[in-house]
Amino acid sequence: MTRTLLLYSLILLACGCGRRPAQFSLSSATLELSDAAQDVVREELTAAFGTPESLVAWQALPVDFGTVDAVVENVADSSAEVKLLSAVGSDFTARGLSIAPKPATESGDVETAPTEPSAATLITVPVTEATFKQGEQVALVGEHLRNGRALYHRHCVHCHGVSGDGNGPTAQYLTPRPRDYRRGLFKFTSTTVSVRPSRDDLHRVIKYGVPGTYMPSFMLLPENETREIVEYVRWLAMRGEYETKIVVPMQSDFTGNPENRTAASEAAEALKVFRESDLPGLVETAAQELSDDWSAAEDEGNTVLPKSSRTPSGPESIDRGRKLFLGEKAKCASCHGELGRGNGPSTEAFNDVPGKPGVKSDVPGLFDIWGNIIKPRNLTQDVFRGGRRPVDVYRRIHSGIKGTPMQAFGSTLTDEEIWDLVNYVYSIPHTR
Amino acid sequence: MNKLWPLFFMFWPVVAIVLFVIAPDMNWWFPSPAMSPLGQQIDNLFYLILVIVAVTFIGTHIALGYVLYKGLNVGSGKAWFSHGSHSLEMLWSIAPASILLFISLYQMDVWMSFRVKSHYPKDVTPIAEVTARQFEWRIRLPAPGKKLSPIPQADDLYTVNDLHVPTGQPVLIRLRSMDVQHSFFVPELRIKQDAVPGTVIPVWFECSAKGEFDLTCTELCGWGHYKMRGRVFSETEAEYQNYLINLQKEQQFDGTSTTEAAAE
Repeated sequence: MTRTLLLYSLILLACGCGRRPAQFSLSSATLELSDAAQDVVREELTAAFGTPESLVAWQALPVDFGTVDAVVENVADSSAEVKLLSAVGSDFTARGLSIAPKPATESGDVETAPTEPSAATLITVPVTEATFKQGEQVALVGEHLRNGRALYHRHCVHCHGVSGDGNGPTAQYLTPRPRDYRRGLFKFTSTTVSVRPSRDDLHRVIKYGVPGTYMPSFMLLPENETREIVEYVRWLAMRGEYETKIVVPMQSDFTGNPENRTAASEAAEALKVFRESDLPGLVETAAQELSDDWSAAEDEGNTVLPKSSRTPSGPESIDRGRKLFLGEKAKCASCHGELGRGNGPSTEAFNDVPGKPGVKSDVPGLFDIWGNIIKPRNLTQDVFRGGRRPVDVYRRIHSGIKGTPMQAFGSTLTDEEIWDLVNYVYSIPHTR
Repeated sequence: MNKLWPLFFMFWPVVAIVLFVIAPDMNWWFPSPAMSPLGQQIDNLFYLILVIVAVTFIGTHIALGYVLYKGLNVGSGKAWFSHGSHSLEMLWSIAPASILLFISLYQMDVWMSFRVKSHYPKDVTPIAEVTARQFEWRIRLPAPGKKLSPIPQADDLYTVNDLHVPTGQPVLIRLRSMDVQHSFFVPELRIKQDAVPGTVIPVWFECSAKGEFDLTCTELCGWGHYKMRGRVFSETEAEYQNYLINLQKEQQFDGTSTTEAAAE
């Protein structure tokens, strides 16, 4: 009896019965690198973004990290160049200027009244620029990120995965697959072709869901929580893009494929040189690009807005739209089919494998950039994934659906032509 | 010492009486007062059953206490052995059976007016098609001034999770499911109806006061079951029409008008 109990407890000890900490995974491109190079990437990613358990709010990124008030509890070794500073705050750290003197609050302002730090965790933050005194009130950066993580882990992680790679535990059962954020590409946006999604775009998708897919509406969440999830998703997308930006220049020299690998010592030396001379520049460029790309999405100039208002729907407009749909200029029917059923000839063709131009797939169908076979929308079903307002359908045609074979027609079609197409698309489910 | 058990069993009917008397006023039985006339009738049925159960519970406990108390003073008398009594058996079979029969007949009116089409209120209007889906309520509404058609129309309005209804008039929703079984539950209105894939189930209700009620799914439908929370907004006819008009405006937004604010 005792022996059995002992055995069971040993098994439990061996397997572990506690919660396993969430971990960010590396992209497949990173995993093709040599082990040492992978370590460099992992280290750099951890420095810039942290782990799910200990997030890093990197100020170079255009993310609204949010702040929380804290009190400096202990300043250790103030003479050293990098000062170690403990503050009562929360379980996050920050890169760059992590901890800032508390901004002066206007008297009588209720909103900025200091709040008690919820979790009195001691954190240690290296501070390079500012000096702090014990007992000083400071603002810790990262509150939105921390809340966003908690909400993301509760509501989103089982499909979209810890790293936002669209590969959570339930993802394998879903068609279409959950979005992989790591390319920074999101399908349903209000922005122009090459621009990232705006905060409002992500907010809209979370709030209203994507009809016709497994993405449900999260209208039950309060506004501030939805905003925090949006920030966290943007941050995860930036993390994925950042990884790619670092890994791509490494691919030629530090691949894990033994044929291309030079002698081990040479490789180690090259990696060291890369790390010391190339990586800092790479990091700076990547951060700058991310900052530019994601800030551009918030720029109103990059929002797609029709120049002319919608042509009132009528038999003439619908007929013009139908001719465009079937015609050579827009070629809608080649994917969506003559009747709009999403069964055009190209869905039966052998197309290029995404990311490998010239290599034909051995299965017929259209691919999205994430490598999944996807179906063109069946327009007879009256389901509009990206929203059913005329402006939504206009944007789908004008700037395409990012990451899919649905291309942008903004430059080839005039506004009037797009509106005719919109009217025709609206009429399809109701015409028999 | 011997009086412990008679006192113990007599204590509970006293507690029960106190609870039964104060519970309705403290709102311990129901999430809130019923916000619909039918809900009020359903509550009354609950109270009827509560009274029957209370009387039975208290009666049996008093009997039990009495027997125990009598047993204290039996002394060394001889035991009396019973082989059963036919008339007693008849009594305690027929009494509960007639109570059950009474309840089943008594509730029939409420049941029929809730479920049987010919007993629906005469002026009930279909206002929305609610399609349950993992994990949300997709809602289709007719355009302002139009009637809900069973077949989707070009000018229908679509929304999700938030169901608006006019106060003080019986309304009907067509309840459907797109995937698995769900259940449409508005506790305040005492409305609970399963949504079954492949069928359209009419559900009527009437909100007797303005307000905002929770709409939940009460059939475990998958991992995201908890997410299926919607809201029912009961509002005046004018507010309801206004809501439809605003929804229509929002849905016809073509990017050039000046009012995108309604969309967020």
